[in-house]
Amino acid sequence: MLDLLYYMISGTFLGSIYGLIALGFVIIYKSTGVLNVAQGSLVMIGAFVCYLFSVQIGFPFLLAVPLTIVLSFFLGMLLDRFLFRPMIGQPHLGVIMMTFGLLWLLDGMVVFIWGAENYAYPKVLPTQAFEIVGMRFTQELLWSFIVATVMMVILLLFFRFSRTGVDMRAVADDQQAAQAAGVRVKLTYSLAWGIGTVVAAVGGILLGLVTYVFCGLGIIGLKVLPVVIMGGLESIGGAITAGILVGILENLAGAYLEPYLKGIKEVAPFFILLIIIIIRPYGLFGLKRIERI
Amino acid sequence: MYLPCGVFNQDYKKEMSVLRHREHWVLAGFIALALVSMAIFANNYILGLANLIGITLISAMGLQILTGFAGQLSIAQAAFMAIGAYASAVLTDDYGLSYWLALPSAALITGLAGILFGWPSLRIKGFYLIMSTFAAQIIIMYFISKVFIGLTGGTGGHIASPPNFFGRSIETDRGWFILIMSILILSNFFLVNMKRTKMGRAFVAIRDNDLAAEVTGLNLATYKLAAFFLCCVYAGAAGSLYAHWHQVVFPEAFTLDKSMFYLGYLIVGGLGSIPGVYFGVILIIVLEEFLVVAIGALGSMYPNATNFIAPAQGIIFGLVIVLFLIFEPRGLAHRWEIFKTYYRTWPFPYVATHK
Repeated sequence: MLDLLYYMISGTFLGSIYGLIALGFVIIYKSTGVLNVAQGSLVMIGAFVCYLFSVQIGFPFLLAVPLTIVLSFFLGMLLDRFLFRPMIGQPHLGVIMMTFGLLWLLDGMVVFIWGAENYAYPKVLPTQAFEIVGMRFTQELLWSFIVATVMMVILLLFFRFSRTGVDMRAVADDQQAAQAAGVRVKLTYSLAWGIGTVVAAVGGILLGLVTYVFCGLGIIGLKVLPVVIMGGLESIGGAITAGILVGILENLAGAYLEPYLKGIKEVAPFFILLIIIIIRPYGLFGLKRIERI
Repeated sequence: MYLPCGVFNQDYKKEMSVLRHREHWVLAGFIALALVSMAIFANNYILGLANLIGITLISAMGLQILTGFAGQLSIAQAAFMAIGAYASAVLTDDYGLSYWLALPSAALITGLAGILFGWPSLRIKGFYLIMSTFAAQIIIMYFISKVFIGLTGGTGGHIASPPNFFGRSIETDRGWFILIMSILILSNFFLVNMKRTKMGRAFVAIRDNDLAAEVTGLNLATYKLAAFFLCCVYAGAAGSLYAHWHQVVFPEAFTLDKSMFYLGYLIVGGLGSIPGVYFGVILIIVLEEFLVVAIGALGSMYPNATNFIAPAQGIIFGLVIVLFLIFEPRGLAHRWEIFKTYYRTWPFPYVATHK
């Protein structure tokens, strides 16, 4: 029984990171309509840029993180300006292939520069484990949970109350009406990409703290796809909930199914994805689109 | 669509033939000459490259049916090839079936798997469909490499013995070149004709507007599943050829990256165009090979250079996709059409409408 509780709590902690990364994905999808398959690569780039600043250049970790965030923001704006703005009005396949091309480009660059090795951030958190009712977790997992939760709350408040956040929701809802009301749509797109990339980078740093900084982070980042499908592509709350659910289910599958099916933990999210698509194609909280000719 | 001078289409037979006018015959003659001279004179390196291109072409043609004609996205093409490869390897080496029966059976088995994994396409489309094929890729490869180890040999691979042709075993690249090219020509012929049948036109209608297609009386479910079936038959045949050409089959040959490459070939070549498949596949594979050779040449100076082949291929591929999408989203096939129109209307610089 305590085992079950343990897996569920650690799954919640890990799932909060998935939820955060999925949130970045949903922000981009909602505002610009681009299904960004390269979100995992943005996660990885974020982790590696932070590694570059904190270890290779030698800044203190607390300076490296804001630097990474600023750089990611501009990276996102650049991606929007040069890759995705020409794609406005192009068919779905073109847009999705653009993100595939981006995925290849970023992954190739990371392996080209840093190679296929594992790196670790400097130890910034206390090393001793902390306890909840007799169960021990690493500090990294707890702090990741806290940071992810804080980020999510900030983003929710941003979308609810700030002028830019409201603009973004307006553009997501009806681009032409928003433009007619004076919202600068292009700027909003760029901002959405910037924010989405920043969220991905923060997710990458957290994943790097919990595991390592390595080129497999892109694949871990791809787990957001099951998460967003489960939560519904348009739903911010859904992304967070589904992130935590997927984290828990993945942990449970790893714990209880592993003896029967080797390696199930890595693919469990994709089984969930397929089941969700079959029984509820538009996700738990997504919008069902009604089509007209 | 401009036809060259002197093509009058005086009877139906003439209008419906595949090779319709002088330029077609000249082109076909050149291709036949090139293939025959390659089969006789080319060295093993060229033949190996040509075999790889041929197998990739067959599989990419399948994806062209599904994505280019019917408009259903799939990033599971490599996994479907894996099903074909393992099916024919297991059938020939564990059950002792002749390769000439195993090849069509493998294609058929893969086609049925395609129907199974194409099932979600009846309810979902676009982004959601690409997600479900993404899951299909991961799950199929998981089952092949981790679960059905007894059947497939897991990560250790499975032997696929070379086929027997009237007592002679096909083992050399030259033998495989002849086999692969014959199957490629058959596949191409089928594809050209399929595009003009009721089914082919139904695919295009579904691609352009599936709701409108349904309203005009097409059974969406049948045609979507038929597209998945045909796509996977091509993939299965290609996978089977690939396995027996290498004489051994590993799960690493059919990764998610390979699946994405197939969509990339179509983007570079041009969606919905048969010459486009050739342009895309040949351009990218030759580019990759050039990269391997170039970096290999650098390897004599810098010993570490070979480590950079894989990431450099990724960067080049990503760059090619991105640049094509920005500057020529309709692919090389569109350039080819422009060139043909120019050739046919010369010396007049403009045409009223083209295509």
